[in-house]
Amino acid sequence: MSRFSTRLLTPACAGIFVAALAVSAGAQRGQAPPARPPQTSAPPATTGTAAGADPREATARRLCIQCHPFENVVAIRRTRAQWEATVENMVGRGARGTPAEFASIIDYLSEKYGLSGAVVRGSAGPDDKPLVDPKADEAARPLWGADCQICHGPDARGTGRGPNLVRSLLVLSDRYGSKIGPYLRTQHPKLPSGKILEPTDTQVLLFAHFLRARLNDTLRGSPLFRPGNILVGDAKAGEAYFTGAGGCTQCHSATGNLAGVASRIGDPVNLQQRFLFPANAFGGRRGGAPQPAGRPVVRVTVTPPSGPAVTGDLVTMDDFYVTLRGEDGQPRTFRRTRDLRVAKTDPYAAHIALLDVITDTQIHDVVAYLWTLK
Amino acid sequence: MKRLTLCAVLLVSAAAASAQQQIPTDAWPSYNGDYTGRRFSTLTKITADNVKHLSLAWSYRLSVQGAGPIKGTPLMVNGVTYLTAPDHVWAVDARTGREIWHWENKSTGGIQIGNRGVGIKGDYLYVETRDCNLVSLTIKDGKERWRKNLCNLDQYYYASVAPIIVGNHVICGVSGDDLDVPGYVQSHNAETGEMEWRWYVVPQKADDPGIESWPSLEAAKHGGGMTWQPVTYDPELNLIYVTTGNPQPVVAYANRKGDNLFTASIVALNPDDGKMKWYFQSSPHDTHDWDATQTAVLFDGELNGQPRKMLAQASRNGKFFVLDRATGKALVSSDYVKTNWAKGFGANGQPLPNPEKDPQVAGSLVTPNQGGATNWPPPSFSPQTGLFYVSAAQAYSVWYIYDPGENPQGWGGTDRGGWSQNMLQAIDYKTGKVRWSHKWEGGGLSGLLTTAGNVLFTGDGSSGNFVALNATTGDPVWHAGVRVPVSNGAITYELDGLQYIVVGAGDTLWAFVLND
Repeated sequence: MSRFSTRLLTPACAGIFVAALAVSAGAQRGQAPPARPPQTSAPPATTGTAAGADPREATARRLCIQCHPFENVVAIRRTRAQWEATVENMVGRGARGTPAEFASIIDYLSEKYGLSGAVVRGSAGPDDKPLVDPKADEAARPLWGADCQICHGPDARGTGRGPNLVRSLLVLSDRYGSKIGPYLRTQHPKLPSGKILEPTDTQVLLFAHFLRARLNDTLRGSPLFRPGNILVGDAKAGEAYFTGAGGCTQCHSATGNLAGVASRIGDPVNLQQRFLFPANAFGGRRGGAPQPAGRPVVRVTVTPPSGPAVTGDLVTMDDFYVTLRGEDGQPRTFRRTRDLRVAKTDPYAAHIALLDVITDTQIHDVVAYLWTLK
Repeated sequence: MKRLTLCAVLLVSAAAASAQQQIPTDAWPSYNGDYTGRRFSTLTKITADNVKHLSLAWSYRLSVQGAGPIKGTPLMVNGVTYLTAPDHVWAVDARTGREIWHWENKSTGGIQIGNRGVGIKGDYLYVETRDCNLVSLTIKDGKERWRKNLCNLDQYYYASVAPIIVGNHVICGVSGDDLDVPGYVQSHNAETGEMEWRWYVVPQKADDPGIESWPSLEAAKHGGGMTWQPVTYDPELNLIYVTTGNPQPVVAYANRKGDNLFTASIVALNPDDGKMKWYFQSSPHDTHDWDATQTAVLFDGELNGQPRKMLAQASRNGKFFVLDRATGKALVSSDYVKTNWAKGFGANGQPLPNPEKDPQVAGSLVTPNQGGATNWPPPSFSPQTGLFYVSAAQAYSVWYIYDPGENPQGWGGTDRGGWSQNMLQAIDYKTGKVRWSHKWEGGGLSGLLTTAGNVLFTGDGSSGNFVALNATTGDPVWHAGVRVPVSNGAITYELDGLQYIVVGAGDTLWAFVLND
């Protein structure tokens, strides 16, 4: 085994890696290449339900498998913000659950399927794809900057002088330097400076981690996968729209229910999302705070042909049955027939109607205005 | 025994031959039942009037926990139903739901999002595995005959498509849009498994057709265009119709300006050599992950007073197209839901994208959303009503660029949030206008089946019902609460004089029958 064992390069052992770097600092060309880590060092995360499992997992499974295998949902690791956005997207596409259930799912997925950790079975690519040690990625940067960046670019996506390595078949098939090492030592051309590359085993390993990290940067769960500056609108124009054509003041007031809204939400993108899609607001809770009480819900009034109208919170409805929760808190189900009248009141109807008419400029202006309400 | 086997082969061959024009009444031998993609059965025992008497015949829950949901179309031949989940194939008795055999692939990777089903030719099944293999199984016992590589897992491809058998060709597509790799469709010999040809969706050489629609060969070679869906086939024209996926990078597009041919397109190929005859691009320069892999449905009929051999697609971008399937010329172009991303249609019938509705750093409100106005669940066309039916959504989301640089890779952005209204749209193919629309309370899309009994079968999304509607009026006339969304389309066949309707929902296959 090499002095510098790649088995130490799993994220869980990142601290040990730093110490190992010091030990291996004198590693020279000619040493045996680093061994590929045995699969047992990083077993694919299991996603089966086990006795004593986190109860939030059962909730997540129940809601997610309506449309996807659960393994597919967690195949992409994400930041908390990305999980919040993902769950909101699913709500927007019709996922059914209570606010508390969605909140617990976000918590669970963020904790269990954050960015670091083992490969999940069922995720993109081969099951034995290399893991990235963030410390190795960091340690590689000076080396990359010194010898590689001039031709391959800071992100390894190539320049006019050297090819794109993120798309390189050799890099994609590499396992902890298994392909990169031999190539650098025997086939890589001289550097522009005339220098011949003679990387140590440690340096090869660092390059391997760096390049896999740049590949991962392009995937959907990338830590770089976050919005840029969306505050590009005109706040004054936004205020005019808010108080005028937008009709927002029918329900909202800058000094009333929206006073301090920018501070409460704390992020311009979340503010934009709440404004456009308020019904999806299960994420974006700062610090995982619970949902505010009194959140408006869809109401429904059912009028049977032979009885009084019954009004309550809508529980579920399809072409055949409607279930509501009345004042007594008990669910009540009606079979939908031709002579049963059903009237639904969506508290967000005005926001939904806006989607058909509002322009991107008006959206940006309104967000710029709302951002002033701190 | 040999004589029995020969008889079985002849029966299956006869079924395959008749499947070219319409679905046999005693089998469902391929993904769409026949080569046309219409998913229309001539069976008439179940009608819009008597469907309310439909009752449960049997149900089969997948024998491997966590393998589902069932997202493929089951096939039924000679009284046996074959269904799949990623890396699994089951054979169950089509009369009772009793499991006959189960095959499992020991996978080495690939996305576990779904498998669309098997292909059948004679005594053999063909299935794609998520770790990039085409596997042939013996139909009687599920034993593996051979396996051939379809794609490279290291490039994050995977395989999920139901193979379509055309003559002795097994036509296979590939999946995966994580990395910037080219899509392709390829043919394998049904007996030996050897690859016969491969057609790349995007140019791989400087003189390949379509290169003028890319800024560079580097961009084209890595330009994506996965072939997620089974092809349809016209035996008279000897053309297969391939529908292709989105270009890469998916959302950030700075390094792929142009139309990005032949991504997000309908392409006619010769099944014998993979040569392209014509193309029609449903989403030029797609920047919203919409692709155009929805089934190219083939039918003959009258249009503007002339008999026509037509092809229709309700594309994920919200546009409906009717083409002359011999030439690719557009005959009808319309919106089947409201869209806000195009400035209209060009003279060639293709949409004219509005650059202002491309994804933006500050966000752009677009309809449809990433899920699309429709998606992979198959549509249906009834020659009886002349209506093209599609599970649809009016869906909004905001599209963001996350990588504003000049050389994005992979995705570089996405959409977020959204509001959607799901519905079933019945489109008059002659005008492209929606004849009727039935809105669902739940979200999600389901596949479709129509029958000569004037019945349309589908699901109502997350409400969890399997629903029958009057195909002429769109009125719901029967339902069964299966508790989870119906995924792919239902199939129908007649055995022992009884017409069965079989559909997958979650990890369970449900069979309904109209008893005498």
